[in-house]
Amino acid sequence: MAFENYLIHLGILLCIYVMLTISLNLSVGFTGLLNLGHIAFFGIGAYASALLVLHGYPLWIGILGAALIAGLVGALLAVPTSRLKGDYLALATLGFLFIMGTIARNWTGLTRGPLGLPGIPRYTAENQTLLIIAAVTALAMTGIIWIITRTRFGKTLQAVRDDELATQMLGKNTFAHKIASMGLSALLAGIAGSFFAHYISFIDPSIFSSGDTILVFSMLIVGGLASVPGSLLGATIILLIPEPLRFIGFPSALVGPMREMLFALILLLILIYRPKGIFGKVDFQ
Amino acid sequence: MNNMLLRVYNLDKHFGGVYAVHNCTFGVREGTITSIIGPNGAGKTTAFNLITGILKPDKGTVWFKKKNITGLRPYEVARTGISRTFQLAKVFKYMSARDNLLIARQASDKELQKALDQVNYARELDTIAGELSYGNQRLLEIARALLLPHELLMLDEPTAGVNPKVRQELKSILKNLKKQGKTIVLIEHDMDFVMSISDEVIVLNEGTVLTSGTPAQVRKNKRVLEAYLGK
Amino acid sequence: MPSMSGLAAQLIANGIIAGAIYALVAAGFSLIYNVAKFVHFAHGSVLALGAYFMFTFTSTKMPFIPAIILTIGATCIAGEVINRLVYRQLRERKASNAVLLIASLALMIFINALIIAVWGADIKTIVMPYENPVFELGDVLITGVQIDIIITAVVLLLVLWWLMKKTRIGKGMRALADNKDVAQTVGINPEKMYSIAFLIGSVLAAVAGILIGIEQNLHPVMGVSLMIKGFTGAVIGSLMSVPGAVLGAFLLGIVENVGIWWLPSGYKDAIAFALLFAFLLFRPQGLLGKKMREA
Repeated sequence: MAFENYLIHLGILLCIYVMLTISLNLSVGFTGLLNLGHIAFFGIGAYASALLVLHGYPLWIGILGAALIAGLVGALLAVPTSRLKGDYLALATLGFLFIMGTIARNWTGLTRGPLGLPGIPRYTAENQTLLIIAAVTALAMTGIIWIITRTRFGKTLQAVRDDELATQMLGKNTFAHKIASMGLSALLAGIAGSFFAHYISFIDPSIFSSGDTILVFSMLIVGGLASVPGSLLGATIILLIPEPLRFIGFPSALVGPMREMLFALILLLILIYRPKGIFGKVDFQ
Repeated sequence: MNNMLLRVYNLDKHFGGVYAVHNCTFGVREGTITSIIGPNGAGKTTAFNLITGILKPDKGTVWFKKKNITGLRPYEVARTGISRTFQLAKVFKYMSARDNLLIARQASDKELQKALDQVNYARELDTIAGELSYGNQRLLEIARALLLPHELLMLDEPTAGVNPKVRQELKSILKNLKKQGKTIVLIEHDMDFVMSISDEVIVLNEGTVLTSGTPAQVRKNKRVLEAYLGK
Repeated sequence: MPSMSGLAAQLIANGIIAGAIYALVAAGFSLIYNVAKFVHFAHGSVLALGAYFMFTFTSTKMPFIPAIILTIGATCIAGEVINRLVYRQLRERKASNAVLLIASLALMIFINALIIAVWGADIKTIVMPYENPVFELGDVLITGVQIDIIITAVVLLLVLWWLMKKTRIGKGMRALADNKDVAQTVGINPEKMYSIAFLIGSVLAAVAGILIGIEQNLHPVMGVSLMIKGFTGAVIGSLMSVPGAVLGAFLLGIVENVGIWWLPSGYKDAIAFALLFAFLLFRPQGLLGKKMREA
């Protein structure tokens, strides 16, 4: 019984990470925007949804609010950052994540600071149902991204990634494309955040964790940039490989850090020996 | 007498105190092939970049189809009807040839194949651009530039870096385009080619127009020789 | 009740102390960035390793000075291991700067987790065998350790300046920073220079780690916020020069500490992040840098 609950929990986490990875793939893998602050949108979505619902609004408003607010923030962030090159963009977006964390910690009037928001209503008390909802959402997101990448818009995003100047000379407003890409990517991450908040029932500023942003990045890279099946595979591998550690018999204080060391190691190995990832066809520029 | 499709007036562009382009003025007539020549560092590519909006001039204006396009962003310039290629062929290397072309214009596979045949591109629609030889990348880039709806084609050293076979193909492509009455500006170093195909030759030196005229006129001009060989 | 100017003086003094630490972090990081041309974000974690090494060595009750020397040595070894095992492997495979940055973040996480695994997640302190007297300079209170911090930082930075300007190795590193291809044609070996840059960086990180460990305490993610502060200082001053990074770091320390006159102290970090973000977006060349020519 306990093992079954553990599997369900793992399954829900996997679905959330799939949502995060596939949404990150849109901006990083398909548009070439090195967004290290992706988890900020996750956190914003979580807080938005939790606050809306805790203040009496129905659940669907919470989800919608999470999506729109996160998406708007993402689009706005793209405005000043999209003219930055590669590693500067990465660092600016990482800086944005830190700023969000600081705001969450200090704007106690809104977020209750480090105390966090407890008692967030769940969709349902049944974990099995939640797993199904999570899986459907994750697959729907994956499907949406897959379809987008085959549209004209999606192809233009990839052209922006491959050569922005050449894309401009073919009459495309690449700036607008980047904003749309970041905004959509953030919107989807916001939905994942909303789901998370209503599953765990408690969120605090630690959601804005730079460790988690790199965790999602490693899922993306391991699976392969610009590969939709790669995102599913990468999330599965990175989430599941450290799990056996729980059962080998390490003292529980060690399990947490060992998981971190393991996924960091996997990321480093992939970066050195197979930077395109398992299914990817695209390198970092 | 054909219209002036493109006119640039008194263009200035400097970088850190050095003029890349200075008091540059010239025009391109509709239906002609104009070549811009000049020694290295003469400002030819900078002039291209100023026209296509990649750089903003410090002074001067650019007119296309009698409209002032100075300071427009590159994608806006492209939409006015100017299509260009670059000194180093810029293809979308992780995308197929087909997808490269589709960015320029929605078209059926049949039309795309025709566009590629026109430039004697030697591989398939499905081939990933990054896997092509440089010569084929150049041909793909040109096919893509031709596919974009345009009235002026700007080619920056199209024959640079390609093997002699591809160079010949590019020459016949340009001859064909000329027969079709297209307006083309190109930057070129191959003098025989320039002289054989151009209606007008503009000589740039140290950022400014040294002289311009028909190939025959320019060939006889002493100052042109001096500019190339050094005084 | 201290006077307004007394309070201001204390805040500025605090700022200089913080700035001294940030400057040590920024100098090491900036050296590696300028010579090896990538963002080594794990630099802060190397600093944390230095602090924890010091903790271990002093726990064995060995004399202070040998402990310091061993700590610096161990940290340098750790730094070179990272350089060879990770960065060099990536460089040999022509990895882009973005990949190196992500690798450095992975390393940061790895080292932070390693510290928790080996030393535990609780807060540790380094017990000093010496007293830590408090001095009064007018309205300003400052401890002996804090004075040590400022003196050590200034001395080390001067040594670094001398190294870069007057020695062959320093000139080699500056040549490499300026133009890698040309530097190689005059016989400079890039990998050797990278190792030396890492060595110097590790020394600076170890010293900073020891100083902070003594002045404050140790916790596993201490490296992260210091890395951010040091990096922010470098961006504010100029990423393109080590002196610029040092200047920016001191400036950051002062602005941070004076800033909390108006803001609640929890916002101290927010000041740094906001400055980092603003500079990266609107003035990436920093206060002292020159704008890069548009391609």
